[in-house]
Amino acid sequence: MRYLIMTVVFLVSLILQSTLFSHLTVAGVKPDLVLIFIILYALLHGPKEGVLAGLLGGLLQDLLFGQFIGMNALPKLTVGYMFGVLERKIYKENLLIPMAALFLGTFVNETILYLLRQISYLMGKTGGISLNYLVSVKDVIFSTAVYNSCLAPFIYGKFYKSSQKGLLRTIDG
Amino acid sequence: MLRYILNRYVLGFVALAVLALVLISYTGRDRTNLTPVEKIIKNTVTPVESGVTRVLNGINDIFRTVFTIGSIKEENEKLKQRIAELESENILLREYEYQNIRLRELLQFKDTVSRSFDTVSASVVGRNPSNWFETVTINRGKDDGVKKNMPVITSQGLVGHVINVSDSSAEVLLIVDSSSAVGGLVQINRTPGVIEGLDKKGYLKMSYISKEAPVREKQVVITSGLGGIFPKGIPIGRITEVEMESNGLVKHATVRPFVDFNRLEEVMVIKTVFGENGPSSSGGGE
Repeated sequence: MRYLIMTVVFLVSLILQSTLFSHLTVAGVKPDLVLIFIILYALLHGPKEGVLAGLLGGLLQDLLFGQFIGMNALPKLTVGYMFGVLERKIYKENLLIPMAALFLGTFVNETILYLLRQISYLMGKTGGISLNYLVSVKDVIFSTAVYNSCLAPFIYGKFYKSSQKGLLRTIDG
Repeated sequence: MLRYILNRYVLGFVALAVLALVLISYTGRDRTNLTPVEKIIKNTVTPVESGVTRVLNGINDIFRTVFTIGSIKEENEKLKQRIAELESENILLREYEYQNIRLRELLQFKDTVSRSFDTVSASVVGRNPSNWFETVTINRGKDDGVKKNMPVITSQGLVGHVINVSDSSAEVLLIVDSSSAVGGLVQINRTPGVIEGLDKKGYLKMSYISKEAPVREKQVVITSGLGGIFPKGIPIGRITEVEMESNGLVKHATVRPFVDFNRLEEVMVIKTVFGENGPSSSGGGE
Protein backbone atom coordinates (compact mmCIF):
# COMPACT_ATOMS: atom_id res chain seq x y z
CA MET A 1 0.00 0.00 0.00
CA ARG A 2 2.68 2.49 0.96
CA TYR A 3 4.60 1.71 -2.23
CA LEU A 4 1.51 2.63 -4.21
CA ILE A 5 1.23 5.87 -2.25
CA MET A 6 4.92 6.63 -2.74
CA THR A 7 4.55 5.99 -6.49
CA VAL A 8 1.70 8.49 -6.63
CA VAL A 9 3.72 10.96 -4.51
CA PHE A 10 6.69 10.60 -6.87
CA LEU A 11 4.57 11.00 -10.01
CA VAL A 12 2.85 14.10 -8.66
CA SER A 13 6.24 15.50 -7.61
CA LEU A 14 7.69 14.91 -11.06
CA ILE A 15 4.76 16.55 -12.80
CA LEU A 16 4.87 19.52 -10.42
CA GLN A 17 8.61 19.81 -10.87
CA SER A 18 8.39 19.80 -14.65
CA THR A 19 5.54 22.33 -14.75
CA LEU A 20 4.97 24.51 -11.66
CA PHE A 21 8.51 24.53 -10.28
CA SER A 22 9.97 25.54 -13.64
CA HIS A 23 8.40 28.91 -12.81
CA LEU A 24 9.61 28.88 -9.21
CA THR A 25 13.33 28.58 -9.71
CA VAL A 26 15.59 30.15 -7.10
CA ALA A 27 19.12 31.05 -8.22
CA GLY A 28 18.37 29.21 -11.45
CA VAL A 29 17.57 25.84 -9.89
CA LYS A 30 14.40 23.99 -9.02
CA PRO A 31 14.09 21.74 -5.99
CA ASP A 32 14.26 17.97 -6.29
CA LEU A 33 10.97 16.97 -4.66
CA VAL A 34 11.48 13.28 -5.41
CA LEU A 35 14.83 13.32 -3.63
CA ILE A 36 13.32 15.14 -0.65
CA PHE A 37 10.69 12.43 -0.25
CA ILE A 38 13.26 9.67 -0.66
CA ILE A 39 15.53 11.08 2.04
CA LEU A 40 12.71 11.76 4.50
CA TYR A 41 11.24 8.32 3.83
CA ALA A 42 14.63 6.65 4.32
CA LEU A 43 15.24 8.55 7.58
CA LEU A 44 11.97 7.22 8.97
CA HIS A 45 11.97 3.69 7.56
CA GLY A 46 15.53 2.39 7.38
CA PRO A 47 17.94 1.23 4.68
CA LYS A 48 15.84 -1.42 2.93
CA GLU A 49 12.87 0.87 2.46
CA GLY A 50 15.25 3.72 1.64
CA VAL A 51 16.89 1.83 -1.22
CA LEU A 52 13.54 0.72 -2.61
CA ALA A 53 12.11 4.24 -2.45
CA GLY A 54 15.26 5.58 -4.12
CA LEU A 55 15.03 2.97 -6.85
CA LEU A 56 11.32 3.62 -7.41
CA GLY A 57 11.61 7.42 -7.52
CA GLY A 58 14.79 7.51 -9.58
CA LEU A 59 13.54 4.95 -12.07
CA LEU A 60 10.25 6.79 -12.57
CA GLN A 61 12.17 9.98 -13.30
CA ASP A 62 14.43 8.12 -15.73
CA LEU A 63 11.53 6.52 -17.55
CA LEU A 64 9.72 9.83 -17.84
CA PHE A 65 12.47 12.26 -18.65
CA GLY A 66 15.72 10.37 -18.90
CA GLN A 67 18.03 9.59 -21.74
CA PHE A 68 19.97 7.04 -19.73
CA ILE A 69 17.79 4.73 -17.70
CA GLY A 70 19.41 4.46 -14.28
CA MET A 71 21.12 7.85 -14.35
CA ASN A 72 18.78 9.16 -11.67
CA ALA A 73 18.04 5.80 -10.06
CA LEU A 74 21.63 5.05 -9.06
CA PRO A 75 22.33 8.25 -7.10
CA LYS A 76 18.86 8.20 -5.54
CA LEU A 77 19.03 4.63 -4.31
CA THR A 78 22.50 5.30 -2.93
CA VAL A 79 21.22 8.31 -1.00
CA GLY A 80 18.18 6.29 0.13
CA TYR A 81 20.50 3.65 1.50
CA MET A 82 22.84 6.14 3.19
CA PHE A 83 20.13 7.88 5.12
CA GLY A 84 18.29 4.65 5.82
CA VAL A 85 21.34 3.43 7.71
CA LEU A 86 21.06 6.51 9.94
CA GLU A 87 17.47 5.67 10.85
CA ARG A 88 18.15 4.27 14.31
CA LYS A 89 20.83 6.75 15.23
CA ILE A 90 18.94 10.02 15.05
CA TYR A 91 16.26 11.93 16.91
CA LYS A 92 13.41 12.05 14.48
CA GLU A 93 11.57 14.76 16.39
CA ASN A 94 14.21 17.41 15.75
CA LEU A 95 13.53 19.39 12.57
CA LEU A 96 17.18 20.30 12.12
CA ILE A 97 18.05 16.66 11.44
CA PRO A 98 15.98 16.30 8.23
CA MET A 99 17.15 19.73 7.09
CA ALA A 100 20.79 18.74 7.50
CA ALA A 101 20.06 15.36 5.92
CA LEU A 102 18.46 17.02 2.90
CA PHE A 103 21.40 19.36 2.46
CA LEU A 104 23.94 16.55 2.70
CA GLY A 105 21.82 14.10 0.69
CA THR A 106 21.34 16.56 -2.14
CA PHE A 107 25.07 17.16 -2.21
CA VAL A 108 25.78 13.42 -2.47
CA ASN A 109 23.02 12.86 -5.04
CA GLU A 110 24.13 15.71 -7.27
CA THR A 111 27.79 14.73 -6.98
CA ILE A 112 27.06 11.18 -8.15
CA LEU A 113 24.93 12.61 -10.97
CA TYR A 114 27.81 14.89 -11.88
CA LEU A 115 30.21 11.93 -11.96
CA LEU A 116 27.84 9.82 -14.09
CA ARG A 117 27.34 12.71 -16.46
CA GLN A 118 31.08 13.25 -16.69
CA ILE A 119 31.70 9.53 -17.33
CA SER A 120 29.11 9.41 -20.10
CA TYR A 121 30.74 12.49 -21.61
CA LEU A 122 34.22 10.96 -21.42
CA MET A 123 32.93 7.72 -22.95
CA GLY A 124 31.57 9.76 -25.85
CA LYS A 125 27.92 8.93 -25.21
CA THR A 126 26.96 12.59 -25.06
CA GLY A 127 28.44 15.57 -26.85
CA GLY A 128 29.04 19.02 -25.45
CA ILE A 129 31.45 20.27 -22.88
CA SER A 130 33.18 18.82 -19.87
CA LEU A 131 31.77 20.26 -16.67
CA ASN A 132 34.01 21.55 -13.91
CA TYR A 133 33.02 20.17 -10.50
CA LEU A 134 33.67 23.38 -8.56
CA VAL A 135 31.67 25.42 -11.06
CA SER A 136 28.88 22.85 -10.83
CA VAL A 137 28.93 23.09 -7.05
CA LYS A 138 28.68 26.85 -7.27
CA ASP A 139 26.00 26.98 -9.98
CA VAL A 140 23.82 23.97 -9.33
CA ILE A 141 24.67 21.70 -6.44
CA PHE A 142 24.87 24.19 -3.58
CA SER A 143 21.73 26.10 -4.53
CA THR A 144 19.75 22.89 -5.00
CA ALA A 145 20.91 21.64 -1.60
CA VAL A 146 19.84 24.87 0.10
CA TYR A 147 16.50 24.95 -1.74
CA ASN A 148 15.78 21.33 -0.84
CA SER A 149 16.61 21.73 2.83
CA CYS A 150 14.50 24.89 3.05
CA LEU A 151 11.47 22.89 1.91
CA ALA A 152 11.91 20.39 4.76
CA PRO A 153 9.86 22.33 7.37
CA PHE A 154 6.84 22.35 5.04
CA ILE A 155 6.93 18.65 4.35
CA TYR A 156 8.52 16.90 7.30
CA GLY A 157 5.74 17.32 9.89
CA LYS A 158 3.01 15.72 7.80
CA PHE A 159 5.37 13.09 6.51
CA TYR A 160 6.46 12.17 10.04
CA LYS A 161 2.89 11.86 11.28
CA SER A 162 1.89 9.75 8.32
CA SER A 163 4.86 7.46 8.86
CA GLN A 164 4.03 6.96 12.52
CA LYS A 165 0.27 6.56 12.38
CA GLY A 166 -0.98 7.21 8.88
CA LEU A 167 -0.85 5.58 5.49
CA LEU A 168 2.91 5.31 5.23
CA ARG A 169 3.48 3.41 8.50
CA THR A 170 5.33 0.13 8.41
CA ILE A 171 3.79 -2.86 10.14
CA ASP A 172 6.29 -3.56 12.86
CA GLY A 173 7.21 -7.19 13.03
CA MET B 1 22.30 -7.99 14.82
CA LEU B 2 23.47 -4.74 13.20
CA ARG B 3 26.12 -6.61 11.24
CA TYR B 4 23.50 -9.03 9.99
CA ILE B 5 21.27 -6.20 8.75
CA LEU B 6 24.19 -4.36 7.19
CA ASN B 7 25.38 -7.42 5.32
CA ARG B 8 22.02 -8.23 3.86
CA TYR B 9 21.27 -4.64 2.90
CA VAL B 10 24.76 -3.93 1.64
CA LEU B 11 24.44 -6.91 -0.68
CA GLY B 12 21.04 -5.79 -1.90
CA PHE B 13 22.26 -2.26 -2.37
CA VAL B 14 25.34 -3.34 -4.32
CA ALA B 15 23.22 -5.59 -6.54
CA LEU B 16 20.84 -2.73 -7.36
CA ALA B 17 23.72 -0.34 -7.96
CA VAL B 18 25.30 -2.77 -10.42
CA LEU B 19 21.93 -3.27 -12.12
CA ALA B 20 21.59 0.50 -12.51
CA LEU B 21 25.09 0.78 -14.00
CA VAL B 22 24.30 -1.99 -16.51
CA LEU B 23 21.07 -0.22 -17.46
CA ILE B 24 22.91 3.08 -17.91
CA SER B 25 25.47 1.53 -20.21
CA TYR B 26 22.81 -0.15 -22.36
CA THR B 27 20.57 2.88 -22.72
CA GLY B 28 21.48 6.41 -23.68
CA ARG B 29 21.02 8.78 -26.52
CA ASP B 30 22.22 6.37 -29.19
CA ARG B 31 19.05 4.31 -28.77
CA THR B 32 16.73 4.46 -31.74
CA ASN B 33 13.58 3.60 -29.83
CA LEU B 34 12.24 4.05 -26.35
CA THR B 35 11.48 0.90 -24.38
CA PRO B 36 7.77 -0.03 -24.24
CA VAL B 37 7.67 0.83 -20.52
CA GLU B 38 8.97 4.32 -21.18
CA LYS B 39 6.47 4.78 -24.02
CA ILE B 40 3.50 3.77 -21.89
CA ILE B 41 4.54 6.04 -19.03
CA LYS B 42 5.26 8.99 -21.29
CA ASN B 43 1.98 8.57 -23.14
CA THR B 44 0.00 8.60 -19.89
CA VAL B 45 1.81 11.42 -18.16
CA THR B 46 2.14 13.89 -21.05
CA PRO B 47 -1.63 14.66 -21.21
CA VAL B 48 -1.64 15.29 -17.43
CA GLU B 49 1.35 17.60 -17.73
CA SER B 50 -0.36 19.31 -20.62
CA GLY B 51 -3.43 19.94 -18.45
CA VAL B 52 -1.46 21.23 -15.49
CA THR B 53 0.56 23.55 -17.74
CA ARG B 54 -2.63 24.90 -19.30
CA VAL B 55 -4.18 25.60 -15.90
CA LEU B 56 -0.99 27.27 -14.65
CA ASN B 57 -0.69 29.41 -17.77
CA GLY B 58 -4.32 30.43 -17.31
CA ILE B 59 -3.73 31.47 -13.71
CA ASN B 60 -0.60 33.28 -14.76
CA ASP B 61 -2.52 35.22 -17.43
CA ILE B 62 -5.26 36.25 -14.99
CA PHE B 63 -2.74 37.58 -12.49
CA ARG B 64 -0.86 39.40 -15.17
CA THR B 65 -4.03 41.07 -16.48
CA VAL B 66 -5.13 42.21 -13.01
CA PHE B 67 -1.78 43.66 -12.08
CA THR B 68 -1.05 45.44 -15.33
CA ILE B 69 -4.39 47.05 -16.13
CA GLY B 70 -3.18 50.46 -14.86
CA SER B 71 -0.15 50.60 -17.08
CA ILE B 72 -1.95 49.36 -20.18
CA LYS B 73 -3.26 52.79 -21.20
CA GLU B 74 0.16 54.33 -20.98
CA GLU B 75 1.64 51.38 -22.79
CA ASN B 76 -0.95 51.77 -25.54
CA GLU B 77 0.20 55.32 -26.24
CA LYS B 78 3.80 54.23 -26.35
CA LEU B 79 2.98 51.34 -28.65
CA LYS B 80 1.15 53.59 -31.11
CA GLN B 81 4.20 55.78 -31.29
CA ARG B 82 6.39 52.74 -31.68
CA ILE B 83 4.26 51.43 -34.54
CA ALA B 84 4.72 54.67 -36.40
CA GLU B 85 8.49 54.45 -35.92
CA LEU B 86 8.57 50.85 -37.01
CA GLU B 87 6.48 51.52 -40.09
CA SER B 88 8.92 54.07 -41.34
CA GLU B 89 11.79 51.78 -40.48
CA ASN B 90 10.01 48.96 -42.27
CA ILE B 91 9.78 50.94 -45.50
CA LEU B 92 13.49 51.63 -45.33
CA LEU B 93 14.24 47.98 -44.67
CA ARG B 94 12.06 46.87 -47.57
CA GLU B 95 14.07 49.16 -49.76
CA TYR B 96 17.23 47.43 -48.55
CA GLU B 97 15.59 44.07 -49.11
CA TYR B 98 14.87 44.84 -52.77
CA GLN B 99 18.38 46.10 -53.17
CA ASN B 100 19.64 42.94 -51.54
CA ILE B 101 17.64 40.74 -53.90
CA ARG B 102 18.95 42.61 -56.89
CA LEU B 103 22.54 42.31 -55.71
CA ARG B 104 22.13 38.61 -54.95
CA GLU B 105 20.74 37.94 -58.40
CA LEU B 106 23.58 39.92 -59.80
CA LEU B 107 26.15 37.82 -58.01
CA GLN B 108 24.21 34.60 -58.60
CA PHE B 109 24.24 33.91 -54.91
CA LYS B 110 22.44 30.95 -53.65
CA ASP B 111 19.73 32.45 -51.52
CA THR B 112 19.83 30.41 -48.39
CA VAL B 113 17.08 32.46 -46.83
CA SER B 114 14.54 31.48 -49.46
CA ARG B 115 14.91 27.93 -48.37
CA SER B 116 11.80 27.09 -46.44
CA PHE B 117 10.95 24.39 -44.00
CA ASP B 118 8.03 22.04 -43.57
CA THR B 119 7.24 22.40 -39.89
CA VAL B 120 4.79 21.17 -37.30
CA SER B 121 4.01 23.42 -34.34
CA ALA B 122 3.99 22.10 -30.81
CA SER B 123 3.44 23.31 -27.26
CA VAL B 124 5.92 22.84 -24.45
CA VAL B 125 4.11 20.86 -21.76
CA GLY B 126 6.91 20.18 -19.30
CA ARG B 127 10.51 20.71 -18.45
CA ASN B 128 13.01 18.21 -17.15
CA PRO B 129 12.64 18.10 -13.37
CA SER B 130 16.38 17.74 -12.88
CA ASN B 131 18.74 20.69 -12.73
CA TRP B 132 21.27 18.79 -14.81
CA PHE B 133 19.33 18.26 -17.99
CA GLU B 134 17.95 21.09 -20.06
CA THR B 135 15.23 19.27 -21.94
CA VAL B 136 11.56 20.00 -22.55
CA THR B 137 8.63 17.76 -23.38
CA ILE B 138 6.45 18.81 -26.33
CA ASN B 139 2.96 17.57 -27.14
CA ARG B 140 3.73 16.24 -30.62
CA GLY B 141 5.14 12.79 -31.31
CA LYS B 142 5.38 9.98 -33.77
CA ASP B 143 1.69 10.37 -34.69
CA ASP B 144 2.41 13.88 -35.98
CA GLY B 145 5.46 12.81 -37.97
CA VAL B 146 8.05 13.91 -35.45
CA LYS B 147 11.21 11.83 -35.55
CA LYS B 148 14.42 11.66 -33.59
CA ASN B 149 17.07 14.30 -34.41
CA MET B 150 14.62 16.73 -36.01
CA PRO B 151 15.59 20.36 -35.34
CA VAL B 152 13.28 22.51 -33.20
CA ILE B 153 13.00 26.30 -33.63
CA THR B 154 10.86 29.29 -32.69
CA SER B 155 10.39 32.47 -34.68
CA GLN B 156 13.32 33.90 -32.69
CA GLY B 157 15.80 31.18 -33.44
CA LEU B 158 17.17 27.75 -32.70
CA VAL B 159 15.79 25.80 -29.74
CA GLY B 160 17.34 22.35 -29.98
CA HIS B 161 16.68 18.93 -31.41
CA VAL B 162 14.43 15.97 -30.71
CA ILE B 163 16.18 13.22 -28.76
CA ASN B 164 13.36 10.77 -28.26
CA VAL B 165 9.81 10.32 -29.39
CA SER B 166 6.76 8.52 -28.09
CA ASP B 167 3.40 8.37 -29.88
CA SER B 168 2.11 11.71 -28.68
CA SER B 169 5.11 13.44 -27.13
CA ALA B 170 8.75 14.12 -27.77
CA GLU B 171 11.72 15.18 -25.69
CA VAL B 172 13.75 18.13 -26.99
CA LEU B 173 17.36 18.67 -25.94
CA LEU B 174 17.82 22.44 -25.69
CA ILE B 175 20.99 24.00 -27.07
CA VAL B 176 21.72 25.40 -23.58
CA ASP B 177 22.19 21.86 -22.22
CA SER B 178 25.85 21.24 -21.51
CA SER B 179 25.76 18.04 -23.58
CA SER B 180 24.50 19.81 -26.70
CA ALA B 181 26.80 20.81 -29.54
CA VAL B 182 25.77 22.70 -32.68
CA GLY B 183 27.86 23.78 -35.64
CA GLY B 184 27.75 27.59 -35.68
CA LEU B 185 28.84 30.43 -37.93
CA VAL B 186 29.35 34.12 -37.23
CA GLN B 187 26.95 35.61 -39.76
CA ILE B 188 28.91 38.64 -40.89
CA ASN B 189 32.37 37.14 -41.37
CA ARG B 190 31.49 33.43 -41.76
CA THR B 191 33.81 32.32 -38.95
CA PRO B 192 32.90 28.78 -37.94
CA GLY B 193 32.82 27.43 -34.40
CA VAL B 194 31.02 24.96 -32.20
CA ILE B 195 28.12 26.20 -30.08
CA GLU B 196 27.86 24.43 -26.75
CA GLY B 197 25.72 24.80 -23.67
CA LEU B 198 27.52 26.59 -20.87
CA ASP B 199 27.33 25.70 -17.20
CA LYS B 200 26.56 29.37 -16.63
CA LYS B 201 22.82 29.13 -16.93
CA GLY B 202 21.14 30.32 -20.09
CA TYR B 203 24.25 31.25 -22.04
CA LEU B 204 26.07 29.45 -24.86
CA LYS B 205 29.74 29.07 -25.58
CA MET B 206 31.15 29.25 -29.10
CA SER B 207 34.46 27.43 -29.05
CA TYR B 208 37.25 26.59 -31.50
CA ILE B 209 37.34 30.05 -33.09
CA SER B 210 40.69 30.64 -34.71
CA LYS B 211 42.94 33.22 -33.08
CA GLU B 212 42.94 35.68 -35.98
CA ALA B 213 39.23 35.55 -36.71
CA PRO B 214 37.58 39.01 -36.63
CA VAL B 215 34.96 37.96 -34.11
CA ARG B 216 33.56 40.82 -32.03
CA GLU B 217 30.81 41.48 -29.53
CA LYS B 218 27.26 41.99 -30.83
CA GLN B 219 27.84 39.87 -33.92
CA VAL B 220 25.09 37.39 -34.76
CA VAL B 221 25.69 33.64 -34.76
CA ILE B 222 23.73 31.28 -37.02
CA THR B 223 23.79 27.54 -37.65
CA SER B 224 26.40 26.36 -40.11
CA GLY B 225 24.54 23.32 -41.39
CA LEU B 226 27.50 21.09 -40.61
CA GLY B 227 26.85 18.01 -38.52
CA GLY B 228 23.73 16.90 -40.31
CA ILE B 229 21.03 17.73 -37.78
CA PHE B 230 20.47 21.46 -38.14
CA PRO B 231 19.87 23.18 -41.50
CA LYS B 232 22.03 26.16 -42.36
CA GLY B 233 21.11 29.72 -41.50
CA ILE B 234 18.93 29.45 -38.39
CA PRO B 235 19.72 32.32 -36.00
CA ILE B 236 21.18 31.20 -32.66
CA GLY B 237 22.20 34.27 -30.70
CA ARG B 238 24.39 37.32 -30.28
CA ILE B 239 27.97 37.35 -29.03
CA THR B 240 28.38 39.11 -25.68
CA GLU B 241 32.02 38.40 -24.90
CA VAL B 242 35.11 37.14 -26.71
CA GLU B 243 37.99 35.60 -24.79
CA MET B 244 41.31 34.02 -25.67
CA GLU B 245 41.65 30.40 -24.56
CA SER B 246 44.35 29.89 -21.93
CA ASN B 247 46.53 27.96 -24.39
CA GLY B 248 46.63 31.04 -26.65
CA LEU B 249 45.75 29.07 -29.79
CA VAL B 250 42.02 29.54 -30.11
CA LYS B 251 39.36 31.94 -28.91
CA HIS B 252 35.94 31.32 -27.49
CA ALA B 253 32.90 33.56 -27.32
CA THR B 254 29.95 33.75 -24.96
CA VAL B 255 26.69 33.86 -26.88
CA ARG B 256 23.33 35.01 -25.56
CA PRO B 257 20.67 32.97 -27.36
CA PHE B 258 17.81 34.79 -29.11
CA VAL B 259 15.33 32.32 -27.68
CA ASP B 260 14.28 32.91 -24.07
CA PHE B 261 14.54 29.39 -22.72
CA ASN B 262 12.77 30.29 -19.48
CA ARG B 263 9.62 31.24 -21.36
CA LEU B 264 9.43 28.58 -23.99
CA GLU B 265 5.78 27.94 -24.87
CA GLU B 266 5.31 27.39 -28.60
CA VAL B 267 7.93 25.76 -30.79
CA MET B 268 8.16 24.42 -34.34
CA VAL B 269 9.66 21.09 -35.30
CA ILE B 270 11.30 21.11 -38.74
CA LYS B 271 10.17 17.98 -40.57
CA THR B 272 11.52 18.66 -44.04
CA VAL B 273 14.04 21.09 -45.43
CA PHE B 274 13.42 22.29 -48.99
CA GLY B 275 16.91 22.76 -50.34
CA GLU B 276 18.11 23.71 -53.78
CA ASN B 277 18.21 20.04 -54.63
CA GLY B 278 14.58 19.39 -53.78
CA PRO B 279 13.09 18.46 -50.46
CA SER B 280 15.10 16.32 -48.12
CA SER B 281 13.76 14.87 -44.91
CA SER B 282 15.48 16.14 -41.81
CA GLY B 283 16.38 13.93 -38.90
CA GLY B 284 15.10 10.43 -38.33
CA GLY B 285 18.31 9.05 -39.78
CA GLU B 286 17.99 5.65 -38.18
